[in-house]
Amino acid sequence: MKTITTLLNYAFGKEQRLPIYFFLYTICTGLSSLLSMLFLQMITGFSDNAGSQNAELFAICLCVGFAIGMILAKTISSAMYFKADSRFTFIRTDLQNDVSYHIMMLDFELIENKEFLDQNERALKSLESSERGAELILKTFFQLPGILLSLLSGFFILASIRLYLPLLFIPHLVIGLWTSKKYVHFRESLQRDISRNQIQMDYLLDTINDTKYAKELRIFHLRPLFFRKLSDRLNDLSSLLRKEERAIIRIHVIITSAVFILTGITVMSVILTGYNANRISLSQLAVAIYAIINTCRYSDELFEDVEKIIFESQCVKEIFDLLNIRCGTTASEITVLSDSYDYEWEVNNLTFQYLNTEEYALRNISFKLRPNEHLAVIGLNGAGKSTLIKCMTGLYKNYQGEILFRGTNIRSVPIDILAQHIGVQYQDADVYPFTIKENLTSSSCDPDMDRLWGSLATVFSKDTLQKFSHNPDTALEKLFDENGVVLSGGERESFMFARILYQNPDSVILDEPTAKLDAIAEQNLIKTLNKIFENQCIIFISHHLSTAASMNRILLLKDGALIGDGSHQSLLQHCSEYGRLIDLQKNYYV
Amino acid sequence: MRKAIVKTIRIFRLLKPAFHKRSLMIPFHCLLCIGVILSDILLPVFAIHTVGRNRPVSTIIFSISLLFLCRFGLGALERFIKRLTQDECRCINHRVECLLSEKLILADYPFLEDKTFLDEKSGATFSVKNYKTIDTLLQGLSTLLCQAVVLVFSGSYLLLSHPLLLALILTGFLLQIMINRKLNKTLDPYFADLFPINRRFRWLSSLKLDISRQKDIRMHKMTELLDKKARQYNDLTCGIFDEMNKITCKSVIKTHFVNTICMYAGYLYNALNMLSGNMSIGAFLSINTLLGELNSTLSSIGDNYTSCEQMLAYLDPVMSLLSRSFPESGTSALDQIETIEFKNVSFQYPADSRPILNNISFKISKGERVALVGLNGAGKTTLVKLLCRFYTPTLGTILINGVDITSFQREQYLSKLSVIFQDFTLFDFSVRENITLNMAYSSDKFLHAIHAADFSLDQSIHRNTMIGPQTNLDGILLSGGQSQRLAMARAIYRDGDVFILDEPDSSVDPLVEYHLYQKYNDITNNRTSLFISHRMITTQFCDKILVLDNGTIAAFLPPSALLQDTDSLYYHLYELQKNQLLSI
Repeated sequence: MKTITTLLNYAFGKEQRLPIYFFLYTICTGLSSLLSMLFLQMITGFSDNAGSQNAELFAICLCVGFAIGMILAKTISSAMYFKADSRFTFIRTDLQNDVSYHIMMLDFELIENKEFLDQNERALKSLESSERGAELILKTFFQLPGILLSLLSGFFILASIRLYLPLLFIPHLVIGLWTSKKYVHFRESLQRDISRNQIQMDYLLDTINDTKYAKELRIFHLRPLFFRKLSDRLNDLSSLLRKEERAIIRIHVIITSAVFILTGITVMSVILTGYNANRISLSQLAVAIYAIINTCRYSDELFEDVEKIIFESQCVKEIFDLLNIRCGTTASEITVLSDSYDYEWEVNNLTFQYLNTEEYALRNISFKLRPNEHLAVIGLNGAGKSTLIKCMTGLYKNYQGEILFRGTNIRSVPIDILAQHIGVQYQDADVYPFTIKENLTSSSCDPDMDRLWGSLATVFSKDTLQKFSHNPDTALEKLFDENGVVLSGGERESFMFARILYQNPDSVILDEPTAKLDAIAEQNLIKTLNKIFENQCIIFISHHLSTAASMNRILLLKDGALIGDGSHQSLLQHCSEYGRLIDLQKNYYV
Repeated sequence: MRKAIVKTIRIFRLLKPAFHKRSLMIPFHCLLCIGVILSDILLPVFAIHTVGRNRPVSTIIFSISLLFLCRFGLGALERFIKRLTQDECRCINHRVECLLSEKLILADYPFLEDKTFLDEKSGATFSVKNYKTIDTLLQGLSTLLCQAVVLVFSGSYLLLSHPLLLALILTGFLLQIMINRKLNKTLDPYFADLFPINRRFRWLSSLKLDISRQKDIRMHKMTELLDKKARQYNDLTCGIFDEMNKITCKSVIKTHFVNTICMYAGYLYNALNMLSGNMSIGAFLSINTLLGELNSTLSSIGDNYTSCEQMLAYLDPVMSLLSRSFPESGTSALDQIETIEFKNVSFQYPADSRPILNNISFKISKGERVALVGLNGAGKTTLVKLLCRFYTPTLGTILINGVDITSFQREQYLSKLSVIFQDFTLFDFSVRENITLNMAYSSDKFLHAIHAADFSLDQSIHRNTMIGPQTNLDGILLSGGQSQRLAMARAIYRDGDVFILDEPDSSVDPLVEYHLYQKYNDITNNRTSLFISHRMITTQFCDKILVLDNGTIAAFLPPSALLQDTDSLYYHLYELQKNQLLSI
């Protein structure tokens, strides 16, 4: 109930006129169903006094009058419906945007956690569809009073025959609503399995459909394996659905129908007895039958809608819970970094552990970097290099120890302030399918043209630059622009580097930016990097020891601990592990 | 109309494998629906008739109760079967997705780079997966069938008893059709506009759960830009929706107007008839209901027909994809790969004007270890793709044991290869399944494979551990080195005659790399092997090195001979990397 109130508040906040639409729609739909019932009653009433004077004239007036009334009611209700309908979509997609924005503001650590995805996946999926979650609730809620009024108009007719007749339907309604609720609970308990099954099925289908995997699917002849798995998943789905169906028949169909049939028969007996005693006319009897059939139809609709609302409200609740998670920055925020500092970076006793793991990813790491030092971070896979970068760029905050950037503890610096000073290129970074300008400047404002073309010219040859046709509004990729330029893997990597050149930050942090480049291109990139950022701080993660050796300082990580810190020469002398790694590669040549 | 029927029949013929015994539920549900509607029309007449006959009260109550029981029993059954039908339609939709996937997996590789095929593919999967076309079509068709029966029944009844009423209703119907036609024509361009906008909005919205993008977004302050774009597209979409709804609303109001007037004219006609004594009250009521039923059927049959037609249109790519056939090439059996020979092979991608490989000839004998080197774009990967029969050469032939490669049965030929691609994939299955894939599991072979690949099993990773935390509940994520080893174990388990390794060292650290070459012989088991590397030094232990330069063979010699030629590309690259390393 609380969820629905929150959702309605949200919706009314986005669209002030919605309550008016809602009110008018409800009135008019109720009116139209009441009118049709009333019309039926009045016109059948004629049969009782057929042959009376002016009856024909009266019938004509009645028909014309009701027709006009109906047209008016229907016109208004459909106008309101269509007005509200597109607003519902708007509210849902806007909620989707709010959620996206909010997630982008949340702590990275939180959203990276697998549990976050597990908990919110269903809710987030429900936002993408107009037939689920928030939009469905809004739509259903919009129509609910109309259904109630229609139900009431049937009761009204029955009450006009015998005042207490509608009361007989109360047990039916109560039991119906109760079974709806019970059924929804059962459905929810199955939902987890169903959505897990769906995820696995989607994975299989997506893998087959993705050309990225086509080579392996063919060379290993994986068709039988994939289709065996797919048919397993389909069978699981059918058996889960069967469970749900059994629950439906057990708690829903049998109980509600039985109660309704009993009620219907009781009401009919009352009416028939009355008719037999000549207290109820034939026309009243006829209308009563319609009223009962209508009650059945509308109460079914009512139960179905209530089910939908209860079922979907869980998703909506999760969405609003998500929106209520506070964004991560701490209370004592620092917005301007101080100018006086000795070290660009100071890392003191940094220890980090991923959630739900026993081992430490980083153990007690300390080092200091002067503003013009060029640092290479090396180590085997899983040594903690990327984790160190994530801590230093403020993505991870749950570490022990301290990281100072220019003398300020980065824990108290909002990430966007930090991002002004640091240029980062993560390992798996990729270009956005937007314009060159937007990619380089991260905004749609007018950029500094000279700097923009300057940074692109540094990384690209003349031929490649031609592709951009000297227009900063040229799009990359074809998603947002049919005429977009498609870059190759190596070109993407270079483009990402150009973005850092444009940013011209105080500290440059690069996580394996040369993985997709050949030897000559790699050498060029390192040269450019060292030349352009000569007086700035560079932190460079690499697998290739030869690249690392061209930096003036090297950190060697092993199993999360710092085991070597110094220039290439000093490490060769003092760090046996480093020597071993170098020898490993040099050995080939000896 | 005829076209649509022919098309529907064709679709059902193509989709036949997706229907099971349970699918009979759908026509059964149709029958029930018809039953419910007819009973709604006939029941009151029956009831009033019974009452009018002045039987004893107990009999009347009994018979009417019985009627009610039947009616609501039928209703309850209908609702339940409806649910079963919905579930079945959902399953059929999934099965069609599987059928499509099967076609995709059977498609020859070059199709996957053919734009028309790709468009067809994405159109087909999108239509089935996102629009749930099959689901919607099936339910639509069964409703259409019900409506048709009701129409025929009530139409013929009216035609016999009150043709005037039928004429009235039909006039209304024709008017409605005209209104709907116009509406659909006006709406079509809006749909076309919505399509690309939706795709973009969906991409923007998918970013929120893309972890690697999220890092970048935070550190490059993309949040505001993305938010602005998403809201722009939202306004755009909803603007179009508003327009569409406005147009639809106008025509719906028109339809209501025509409808209501026809209905009430009909009621009036009935009422006057009844007042003049031409019609009994039972008949009056039932004809009124019939009229209402007919009218609502007629007004929804148009919508339903249009939506079915639309679904049929969406199914176009599905049909053309399903009716494609990919003939199996080659029938000869292959016992063992002895020699591989490229004879004047040239290759260029269909969409490309520049040849990737230019008149290449070389021969690899059994047991030879060959390294393939060259700069980015020299044609190394293409050569491997030709060998894996993803493509056929534009000119020239590839000979296996002296026989044209295309004459062998493809599956059998491929089973003789152990390949590790540079961008290899681990599937979100168990460790064991990732290694054995489609081959039968043998414990000895399995242990040998993981041992040779240096992949260690312990408490945290055992053979049934699932990979992939996104897909599987307790799925784990392997590190880069572990993944590499697992891929290696997969190749070893396959035990092919020829090992093909595409840059196995590109993403591993020096230690893993070192082990890889230490154990190279264990891994390839002294079979014929071909491996691509960027690092010249790691090619030293090979018997021969194939140097590709711009699509031609620059050299095909043992490493020692290559190093003597100081002008060669190989020597140049070798020295560059050697100096980089030794200078440190």
